[in-house]
Amino acid sequence: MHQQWGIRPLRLLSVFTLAAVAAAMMTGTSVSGAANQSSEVGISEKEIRIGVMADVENAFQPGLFKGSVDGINGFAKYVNKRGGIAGRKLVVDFYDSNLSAEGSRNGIVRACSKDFALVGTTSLFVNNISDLVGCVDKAGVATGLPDYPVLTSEPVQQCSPVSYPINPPPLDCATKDAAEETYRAQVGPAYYYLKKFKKLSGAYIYPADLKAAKNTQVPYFTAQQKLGIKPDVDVDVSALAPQSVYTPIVQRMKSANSTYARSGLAYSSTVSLRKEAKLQGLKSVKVWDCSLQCYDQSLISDGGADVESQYVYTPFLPFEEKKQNLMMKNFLKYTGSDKADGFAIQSWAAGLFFKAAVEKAVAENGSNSITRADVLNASASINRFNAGGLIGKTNVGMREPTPCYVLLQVKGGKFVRVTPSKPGTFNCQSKNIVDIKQSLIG
Amino acid sequence: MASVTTRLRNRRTAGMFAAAILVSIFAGYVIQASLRPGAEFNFDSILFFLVVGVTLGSIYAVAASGLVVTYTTSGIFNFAQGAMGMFLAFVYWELKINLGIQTLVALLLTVLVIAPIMGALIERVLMRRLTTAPLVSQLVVTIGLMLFLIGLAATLWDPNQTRLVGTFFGTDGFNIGQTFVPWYRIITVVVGLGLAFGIRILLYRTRLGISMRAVVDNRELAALNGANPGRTSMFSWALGASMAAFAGIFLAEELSTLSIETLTLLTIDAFAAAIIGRLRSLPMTYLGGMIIGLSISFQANFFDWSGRWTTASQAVPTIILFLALLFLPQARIEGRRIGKVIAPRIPTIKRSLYGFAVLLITVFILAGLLDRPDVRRVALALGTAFVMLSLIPLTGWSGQISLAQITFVGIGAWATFEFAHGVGGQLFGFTLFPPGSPWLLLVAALVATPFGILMALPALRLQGLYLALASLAFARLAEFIIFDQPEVFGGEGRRIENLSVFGHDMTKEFKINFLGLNFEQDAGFLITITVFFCIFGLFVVWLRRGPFGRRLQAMRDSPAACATLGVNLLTTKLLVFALAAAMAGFGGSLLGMLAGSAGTADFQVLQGLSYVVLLVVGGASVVSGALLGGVLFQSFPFLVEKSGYWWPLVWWQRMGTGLLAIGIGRNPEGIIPDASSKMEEKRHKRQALATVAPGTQAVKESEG
Repeated sequence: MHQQWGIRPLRLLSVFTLAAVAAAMMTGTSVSGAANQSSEVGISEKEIRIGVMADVENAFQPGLFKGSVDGINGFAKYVNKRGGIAGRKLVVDFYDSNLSAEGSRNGIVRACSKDFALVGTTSLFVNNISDLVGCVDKAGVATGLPDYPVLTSEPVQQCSPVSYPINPPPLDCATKDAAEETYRAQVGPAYYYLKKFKKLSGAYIYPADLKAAKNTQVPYFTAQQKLGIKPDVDVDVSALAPQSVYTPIVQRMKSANSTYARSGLAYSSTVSLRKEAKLQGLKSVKVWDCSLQCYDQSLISDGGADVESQYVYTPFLPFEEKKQNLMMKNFLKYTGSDKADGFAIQSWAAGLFFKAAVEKAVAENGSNSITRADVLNASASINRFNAGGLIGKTNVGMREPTPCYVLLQVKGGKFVRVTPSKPGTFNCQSKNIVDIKQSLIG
Repeated sequence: MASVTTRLRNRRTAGMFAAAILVSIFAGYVIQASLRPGAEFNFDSILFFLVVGVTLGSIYAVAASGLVVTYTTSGIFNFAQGAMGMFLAFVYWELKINLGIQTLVALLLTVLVIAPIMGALIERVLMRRLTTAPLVSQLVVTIGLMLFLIGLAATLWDPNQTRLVGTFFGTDGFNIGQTFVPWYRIITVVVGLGLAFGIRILLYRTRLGISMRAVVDNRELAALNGANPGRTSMFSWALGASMAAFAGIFLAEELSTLSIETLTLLTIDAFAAAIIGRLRSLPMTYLGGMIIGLSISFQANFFDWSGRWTTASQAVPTIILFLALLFLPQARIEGRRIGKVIAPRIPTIKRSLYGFAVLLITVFILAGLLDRPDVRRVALALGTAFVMLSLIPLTGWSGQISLAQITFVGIGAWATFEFAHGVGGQLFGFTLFPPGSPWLLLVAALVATPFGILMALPALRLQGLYLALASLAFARLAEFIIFDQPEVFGGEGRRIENLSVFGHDMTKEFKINFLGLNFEQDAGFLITITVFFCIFGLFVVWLRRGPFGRRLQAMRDSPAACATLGVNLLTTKLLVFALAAAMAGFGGSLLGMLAGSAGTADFQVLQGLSYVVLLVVGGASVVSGALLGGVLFQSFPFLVEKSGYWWPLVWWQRMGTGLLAIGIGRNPEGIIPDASSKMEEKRHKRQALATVAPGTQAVKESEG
């Protein structure tokens, strides 16, 4: 008993010392204890202000990308609970881009004058980046506003020198102005399907309402078709289409004996397709495929038994794996399980990337001289980022699309991991990324 | 043969004939380019296309029938029909799923109790005072009701939660050929048919129906013959709301989750069916629905839309609407009287100059005081006001309703890009206009002008509601077919450079030492937009005071009288459409330069509707009405942001435009003309009192 009491304070002391050193290393607090300084726009002695810009309020779907805002707010709570970043508390400003180009530009202008960086940007119409790239720092130099977006739908933002999307899009920016652009498409799940089912052919459903929306899906679908999943039906469907619109698609699949189907629209399109397939007695399909947009509990609640066996792949760990991943546990705790969605988790991952970039800059230059330029330089050099295991290793710094994915399947009304089978892991084979050339811009 | 030649000599018929040939050539080209390789035309494929087409057609037919019932029985074309259906579908979900009421009871409660009450309330509170209001006020109130219901539904039922209403008889059904037809789709077809014929009988074979139609034709005369116009109108709207509920619920069965957007906007696609029914025949409307359904089914089965025609599949109902408007005769409601419109007082040039000077000084001070984002908001408000200004001669004076102004704005923005970067601005390898050149503003106006004239062609044949719908179809066709072409916006945002005058970037920050004012970036451009607004505003006032303005006003008051007096209506219409398009193109160029980019998503019809609505709210016939409309347009996001996203203001942002538009029912001329006429009245009263007072004094003195 005495021995225990004798050892315990020593252990505690050593733990505290270790913790203090680790904290100092992590936060970059100078050992001399010098006070922090206001070194950049959005940075004061005690605070780092970051902005999160998202399309939230709009006529038809208020709260559209609120998940991104929730994710960043949760991340700020999490970070502040652990002493902040670079010895400073993280403060979040929200800018609603209102699903408009002007709203997005205004958000960027405001963030430029108030915040150190934009983190978790989820605005569809960032089609003018002059204020992002030309944002002036405290020294009056146009270093740009560091931007760590979740969603980048416009090529100009995808290729912006100051934007580091946490889930880099397929466009190879070096070829943006070429006659044919190069796209690096994720086809990992297609390899799995072909290995398991040998020969597949079927329906590819593209979004029809805006050409820009269709263009986001074309590289993936083309890459899969080149890999061997041939199209029986290549069709454009509006996001507003009622279920009856899917009847001809299903009938064409039926007559072609299709074994594969994938919709590039929101999850509700997949639900309509599956329901119509059930009605029309389409039984030949072996793979009902869908990307990230279907990793949504609504897919199961809306589709019920009709969406059984639906494949869904994501670039991040399933929410169910909080036991296998501490960061997932933290994400769910600080963001709230009820608010956890694809945007929230990627927003959180963007926050972690921002933190890593700031800490790298601090490690190189100290916590009293954090500047946007230093953080941008640090961001470019982070090449194997995995957000504490939430996502597979991704070269965010070079904007390379991640080869990592987790394939899930709806079984018994739940998302169940299919491959890789070990919880907490990703399939990150380099062959998962395939280069294709297409002319989609202009 | 002789009669054909005679008819072709008629300018209107010849125009129609030319339009028919053009449309046929274009449609033939698109069909030939998009026919799916390997598409088989055999018994099975045709039977299948018919089954799917009829199912889809029934939904459109039911949605359109509600529109026709309301129009036939109230004389008001209800843009909010889809939104009412959407709202009632949510109510049905609330009853059936949330409260757990049995399906049939929930259905009956929604369709036979709640919907009629809603319809009757709408009639009593909003529509009754609109029966003699100008058409533009009627349209704006119904568009306002649509926007309000959308906002209210989004507030009451979180759109991010999923809601399913299920289907009647689940997934039971039977096969026709190789196609399985579930019972719930058969119910839609049968109920649609039943409603079409049942209500036809009600309207034409019963005393109630006859009095409903009589009230529309002449309210007072119907009352003299024993009808109760108020009660009859309420019943009409109740019936229309029940039809909307049917449409909403039938459509909801076809959705994986209740969607505000889908339930509301599908009815806009159903407008074509209502027009095929000439807004009065329900069986013909049902046929119209079938034409839409079969066309969609046909293109889904046999066409392969790709490349430049990717989004064309969405345009099918709009193309049918456009063709129906062009080639079917317009239905007229005989004897219907529209209230007399009192034109607001026309300001003198001198008075206008004072007004514009005050505006310039105010903006100048604001530009020096505000931070950059707020400067941009004010600039956007003025840019929007500029576009609204373009509607004043067209809608405010001549009464021509165009819902396509947003299209000309888009064309102006595109021309600004194209003539600075594309082949349009090249001559023998030389670039004619450097990016940011002020000449691009004029080029944008010039490029938009022929499109305005193109839009005017239907206006030569159509008027009133039909013209409004044709312009709506024109705008949707531009959105789906023109703007996404690789030669236009090509599916991405085009970069538009800042305005640069004599090499000086107008967006650069500057300082005036004398006043100590610091002008942030974009302040210079705000002042430039204001100067342009003042110049064009003054031009509009000058125009209104001149013969052209009087001609437009006369054309609005009585086209027949104008023609009798020798006014060339054809030229006048062409000129006013061209003028409005040129100004909107100029405005589009300004807005493009302000935004720095332009893409298809910036020029969608719904945004254009907001322009018209807020202009009418401000006052469609006066320049200050456009200014107020522009300010209101930007006030919603501004207030929300400044309040730190305070929930009452967030709600106001969702429903504010709708509520303001609904307010037009009380004040059809708009806020500014109403306020100015009230001030005028007070001034007259004061003057009258001042004149009477000395006399009164004299009487008192003589009595003394």
